[in-house]
Amino acid sequence: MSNHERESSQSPGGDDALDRAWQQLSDEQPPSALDAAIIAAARKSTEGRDEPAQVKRASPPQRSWLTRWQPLAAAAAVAGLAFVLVQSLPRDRDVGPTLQMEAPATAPAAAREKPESPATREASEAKTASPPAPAVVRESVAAPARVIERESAADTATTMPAAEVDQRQQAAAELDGRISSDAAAGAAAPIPAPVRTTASAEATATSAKAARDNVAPRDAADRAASVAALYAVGDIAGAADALREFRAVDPDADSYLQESLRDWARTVE
Amino acid sequence: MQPRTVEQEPRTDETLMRAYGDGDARAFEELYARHRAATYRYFLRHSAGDAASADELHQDLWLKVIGARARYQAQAKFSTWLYTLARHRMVDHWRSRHGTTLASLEDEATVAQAEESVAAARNGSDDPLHASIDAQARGRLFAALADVPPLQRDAFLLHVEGGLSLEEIAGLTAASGETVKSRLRYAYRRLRAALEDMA
Repeated sequence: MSNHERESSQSPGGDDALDRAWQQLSDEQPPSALDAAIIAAARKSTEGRDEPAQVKRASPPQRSWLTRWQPLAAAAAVAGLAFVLVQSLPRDRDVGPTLQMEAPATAPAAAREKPESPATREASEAKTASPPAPAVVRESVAAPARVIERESAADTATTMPAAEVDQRQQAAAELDGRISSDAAAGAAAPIPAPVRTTASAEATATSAKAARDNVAPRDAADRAASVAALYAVGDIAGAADALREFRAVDPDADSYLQESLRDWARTVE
Repeated sequence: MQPRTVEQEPRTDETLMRAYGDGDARAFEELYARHRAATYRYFLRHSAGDAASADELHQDLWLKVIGARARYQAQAKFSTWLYTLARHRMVDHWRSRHGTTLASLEDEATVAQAEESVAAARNGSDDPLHASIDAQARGRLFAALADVPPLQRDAFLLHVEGGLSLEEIAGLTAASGETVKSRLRYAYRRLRAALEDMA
């Protein structure tokens, strides 16, 4: 009770003198240390209530800081990963073109190491013929030429100089054109086609070389030319013998002859 | 002009307690400043000048107020609520010291036992203030109060220290108005006799 309230209160016992005497004598106060302890407890209780609010107020900036940096860090990580991938992928793809571009420079040495000597040619032929071909595919006349062109291009890309590649491609084109013209004339003769197996690419390349070396149409043309030459000089018997040999090799030998010789060829048995 | 008048009006105890419940520590300090001396003397008189007990009881009371700030509802005067807590704490103190209960305080035997304990505490008090001349009068008055039975003394202290009315004391002590009035009349008579002896 405050002193103000004590002064204004009236004594229910009707003794105001006693109340005044009591108010004068009863004036003890609690120790200041006790007051301080109680005030401190009261402040602590309110601070304890305010602290969580402050923490709640202070914590959102920390969360916002984290949430602000976490996406950036994630984006940086993704960007770094993408950069590494971009840097690594082209290197893998550059291996092929680099080798192809470097191949012509090294091709002469490779060509020197792999001269197409008869021994090597025979060895490659033996290698091509030696494995029992499970499925021998006889293609048309034009097919081997295209195969030769493709495979020779692939082969020369890594082993031959550019000049040799051009020569071979030109020869293949000429051959292809000649065969195509003959085929269009209905004289597509079965040619000893190169044996193509589904073995390794090395075997395929070897068979292509063998096919190139055994250019049957070129022999047929030569034989036809020799027959024509013998006939032209008047050696009819020699021309007939050459034609017979030609027929022995190629049953369609007559088709390679000139039109002027075909009537005579029908007389040769 | 009107807002200034509103600002100058002191806040009521109930307003201060609600403000403290909302986290206003300064409201508690103001509230404590109003009631600190009265509650301390309430315990000190009931303890017959035992300052240590009064300190302990006083601190316990206000810590209860602090702890109950969130539950406080201004359904009655703050002083009534405060002295209800103080009285319960005092009864607990009696019970722990003398084995008395609130109901047993009405018994004459229990009253006599409490008076004996209060007298013993009074005789054992070595407060330096009792050595002064003013302290002699104070001592006689307080000794006379200590001789008053607890319920009468409690009613007297609730009135003169707590500033509670008869009705409020009746409500607080769960007694009728007439009972409270008779208790007060008895206490006043004992104290008046002590003052007459001093004169």
